[in-house]
Amino acid sequence: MNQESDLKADLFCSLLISKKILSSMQIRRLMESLKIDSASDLYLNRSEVLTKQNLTTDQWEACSKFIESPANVRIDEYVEYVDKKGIYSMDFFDSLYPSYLRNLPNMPLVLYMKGDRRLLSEQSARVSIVGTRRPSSYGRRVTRDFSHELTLHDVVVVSGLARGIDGIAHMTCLETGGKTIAVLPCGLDMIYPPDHTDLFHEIASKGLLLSELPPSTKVIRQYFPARNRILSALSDCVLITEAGEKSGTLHTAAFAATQGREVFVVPTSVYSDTGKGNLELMKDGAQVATEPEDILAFLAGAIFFREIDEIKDEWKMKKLKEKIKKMPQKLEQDEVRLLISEVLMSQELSADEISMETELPYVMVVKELGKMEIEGIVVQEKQKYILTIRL
Amino acid sequence: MGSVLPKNAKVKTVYLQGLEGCEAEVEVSIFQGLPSFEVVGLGDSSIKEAKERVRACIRACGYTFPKQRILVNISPAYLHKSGSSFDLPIALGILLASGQIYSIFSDIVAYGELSLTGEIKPVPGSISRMLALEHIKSDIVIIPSKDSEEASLLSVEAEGVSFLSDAIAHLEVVTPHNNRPVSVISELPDPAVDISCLRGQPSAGRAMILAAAGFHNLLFSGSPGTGKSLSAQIIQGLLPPLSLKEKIELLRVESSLSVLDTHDISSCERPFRYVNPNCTPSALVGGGRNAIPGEISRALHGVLFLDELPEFSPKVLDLLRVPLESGEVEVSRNSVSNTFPAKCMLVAAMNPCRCGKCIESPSECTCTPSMIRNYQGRISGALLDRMDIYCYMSRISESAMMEAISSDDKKESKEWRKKINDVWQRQYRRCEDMGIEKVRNGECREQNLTELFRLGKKESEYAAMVANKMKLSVRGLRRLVRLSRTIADLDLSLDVKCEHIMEALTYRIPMRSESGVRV
Repeated sequence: MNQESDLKADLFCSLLISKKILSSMQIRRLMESLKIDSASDLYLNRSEVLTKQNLTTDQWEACSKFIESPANVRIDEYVEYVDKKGIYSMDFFDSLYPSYLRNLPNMPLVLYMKGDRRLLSEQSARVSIVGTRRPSSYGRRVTRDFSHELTLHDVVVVSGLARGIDGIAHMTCLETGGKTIAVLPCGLDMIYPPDHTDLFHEIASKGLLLSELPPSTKVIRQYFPARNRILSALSDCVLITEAGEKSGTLHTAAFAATQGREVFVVPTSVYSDTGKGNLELMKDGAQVATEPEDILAFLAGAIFFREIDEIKDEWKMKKLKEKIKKMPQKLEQDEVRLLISEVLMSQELSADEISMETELPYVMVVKELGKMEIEGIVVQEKQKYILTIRL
Repeated sequence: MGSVLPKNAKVKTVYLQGLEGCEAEVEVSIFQGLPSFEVVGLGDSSIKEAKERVRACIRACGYTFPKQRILVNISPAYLHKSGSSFDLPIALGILLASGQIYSIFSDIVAYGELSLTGEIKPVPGSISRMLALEHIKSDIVIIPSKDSEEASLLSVEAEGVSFLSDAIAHLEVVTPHNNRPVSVISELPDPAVDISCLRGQPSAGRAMILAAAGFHNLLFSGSPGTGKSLSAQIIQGLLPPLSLKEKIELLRVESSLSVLDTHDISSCERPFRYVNPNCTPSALVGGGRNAIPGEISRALHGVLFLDELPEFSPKVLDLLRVPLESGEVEVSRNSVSNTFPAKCMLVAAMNPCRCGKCIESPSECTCTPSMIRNYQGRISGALLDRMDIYCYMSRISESAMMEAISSDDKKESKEWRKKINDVWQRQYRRCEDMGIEKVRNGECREQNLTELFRLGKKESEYAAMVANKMKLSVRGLRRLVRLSRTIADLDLSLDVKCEHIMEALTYRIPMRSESGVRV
């Protein structure tokens, strides 16, 4: 993959978007209708794509103006600058663009990153920890405890690098030796807020910094909610440790709800001012987390179902069943788990029945069932196993 | 008849007290006076009656019964004694004291019951007596000929005799031993019920194998007719043969209750004691007027099967708690406390509710929640705590049913028995390496399980985490660890691994739901 041309094309797209010439939706529609399937193709063929026929008059005028503007003419210098800063891009058409983002509406066309992009992989669990910029001592403590415990269980902590809760979540995660992702409301060559400069650099080297805004973009207050939508989309669930009554954090919660991400809230005192938002969210039906285990139990299921989704109706199942007949001893544990969950998907069964349905040896089934029970994926009721999370 | 000095004789004997063989001395004194015959020394009525048997027997053998004052004292005189085994020493004592026979030995030990015609009959307690004989100083030991098998089993030198006249002959002339040697331990018979007859219930099969492999207590639950009682019998067939030491311990219990026959002595099959719910406390743990061992002792090194567990009186069940933990049961009678062995594997079966349908077909169940709660509540938590494995047996599916009818004759139990024997040897070896008593996993009462069971740090932490999550008690955790060890042993794994703990977890006793019912 040619990284440079990619970056150039991505920057070009981002500029089109940030100059409000075209929206990201419009670019995608345009590419779809012209059957262009990569940003670099778009850039290389820009003169054929951005024509009068394809655009409205206003757009076309703005477009031609932009192409002649110094921003576009000197784009090579810009690319060089961005590259030097260690920032790279990933666009919607990249095979590595996470599918959990691609499935959501309104996701950015281009993401800029600095750091380790593997943190976005489908195998790892991510939790957003967000909250007020002015936390109480209770809020600080809760954030530290949860961030620490979740990190110990290899959860990637996602937050917004803001003052207060966000900063504490990142710092605790790094202190515990974990990985963290910060989603910034500005270009990645800016540091916002400036007092988190050290933290910014530490995350750049040990974690991942991410933004949809092209480098050199300054912080705009109006942009904060939009940043929050990426934050929640990246995570399996959002944990709100302390939120005020009219907090941006509540936006994140609202996004999470529409994106189908679970929202966890840590209870606060009913007299606390800084925690009013938590109580409101609880009233609205957010999940209550009183200990990190509550979240870990949820994550186990979430990840598990992500895997199931992947394999569920594919030829892999058929292959597995052939394998059972030939050599059941050679099955991997996660393959056993898949087979068990497949039969449990439609009905509740006893261990004996599972063994018969899957045609797996009983001992194998029972070992995996024990594990699944501990992880909270199945529960036993009246001697039958039930999947706790149904699709 | 001129002398006024009394004529004395002494014969040693052994009597049965609980399961112990105790030494006693029978002193006979014959002196001038009006003819009388008295036995002193706290004997019970069977000893008082000995007078008439001895009198008749001496006459039947052609000797005369002295027409003088005869006093027999059985010492130690402060202990209560019972049984008909004193007949022979009293008769020999009278004959020796009256000078009708002589003995070339000075220390004589004898026991046996006499018949009116001069025969010597066996009495219960042969093994206990043999064990005691090893510690008694003697020049000659005379025992009923029936007991000579036991004597050779324990390699005790003794003369087995069938008639009083034979006994006398042994005293007067040195004659060679003619102990009947026993072909000590015979082959284990094929299991009566093979494990392969459990179709469509692999969980029950696995539970039984695990129970047998670690000698764990096992609780079956399930609707009527799902094969709970059958399963208990299968377990007996899975157990390896008794070792000689275990065999002797078991025979000690059995012989105290009745006279053993040759089959009892040579068989090495582990006992299987079926106990039904109307069993009395003393029949279960031992007791009665003379403190005899109960079912729990008779199941020594084998299976004690309690059918319909909740139908037992809670008082009776509670008596099991201490013996199951300590492997011993203490019974006090007549100011003497007796200790009986109680090392056995408890297998119990129960219905989930009185009608047995509340789990599989709740709509047909006629029990109210409170009835179910009361029914299950009859088993105390303390007893449940001692059940290492819980297995629910569900009704089998149609296809499995078909197979069950057309079952072919398989011999899977026998193979498993071999495997389980190997597993036991592994467990013994582990104990030996640690320098502790050789026990199986299920009987292990060591406090430091992690070292003995080779549980790594990661695994112990995992087990603790699991216990916390599943809300197990400390005892529950130890139970989990013990069972994990057995699973690891069956896997031929040196260390306990997390996967073994996971499997063990599925055999735990279900928690109570909000309505107080275990499901």
